[in-house]
Amino acid sequence: MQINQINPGTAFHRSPNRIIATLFGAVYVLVGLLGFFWVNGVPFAGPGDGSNAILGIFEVNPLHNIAHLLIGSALLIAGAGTAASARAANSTVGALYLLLGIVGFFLTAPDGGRSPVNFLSLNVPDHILHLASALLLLATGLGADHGATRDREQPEPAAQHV
Amino acid sequence: MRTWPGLAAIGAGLIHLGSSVGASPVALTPLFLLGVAEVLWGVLALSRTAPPAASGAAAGTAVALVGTVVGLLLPPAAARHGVPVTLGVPPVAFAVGGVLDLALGVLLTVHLLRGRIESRPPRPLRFVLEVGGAAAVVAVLVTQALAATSVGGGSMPMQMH
Repeated sequence: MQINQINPGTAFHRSPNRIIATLFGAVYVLVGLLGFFWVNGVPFAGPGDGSNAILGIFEVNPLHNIAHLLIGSALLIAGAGTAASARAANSTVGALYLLLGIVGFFLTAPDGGRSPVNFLSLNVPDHILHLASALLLLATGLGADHGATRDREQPEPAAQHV
Repeated sequence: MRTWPGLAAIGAGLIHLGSSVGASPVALTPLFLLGVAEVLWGVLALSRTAPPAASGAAAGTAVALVGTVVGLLLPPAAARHGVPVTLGVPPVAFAVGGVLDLALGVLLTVHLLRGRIESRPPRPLRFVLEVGGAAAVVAVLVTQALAATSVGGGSMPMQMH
């Protein structure tokens, strides 16, 4: 029997965590792939000259793109699993993004963001995106699917169906 | 709407923490403690079905608002009397932090007046849309405020590097 049939709370359309994890995972994987079209001549882990901005808004470099791909993949995998796994992934990635949202300001402060310290080639729109992602992922991870735990999502023993 | 108080508190906490970095010694400790308390309360509020210690949080928000108004008005008022007072916090950071604290205070007051919480959780799609909208608004406000502080290099808001 399908797990989702036993516990309706884990069904994709009934779990905000699975919806958000899948949506954000897909977007971050897409952004990670698209980003490689904007990193010509940009250092692997250093700031660009401003021409390395996706759609002219979000600056990236190859390391930044790889981070997007890894985070997006993790969220996609978690979203394809159970509500509990999506919840854990959303909370963890949300906390990491919150940290990056704050640390990012320290990285971009020296020399207007053109210092080598800015190893992810961040800019202000990046900060907004990271903080918005952090708040959304944290709010969903901490605030939704409260009943979703690994134990509750285990298939019921066959004996209970007899 | 259940997640809004938590998001507002985290947003205000981030601004106050960021503002404390370049603040004068007299403002540093209160801003830092306020920021830590707001972030911790916000995380706790997100993980609960109802805002924790709502009465105490509302009182704390009122104190924070008074401090915000004093922080905004004191330097220009003192300068008018020839006494230079520098808190080291840009007015925009005080103002945005105050707006988020005001929103938090209103939400807590509404919660306290209603005296109950929604028994049924919202539909998943509605939850996602509500949280997405609130997170986007708070993120834009926080980024603009932090960009004006010393943490953000005192850069102009929305500066594209």
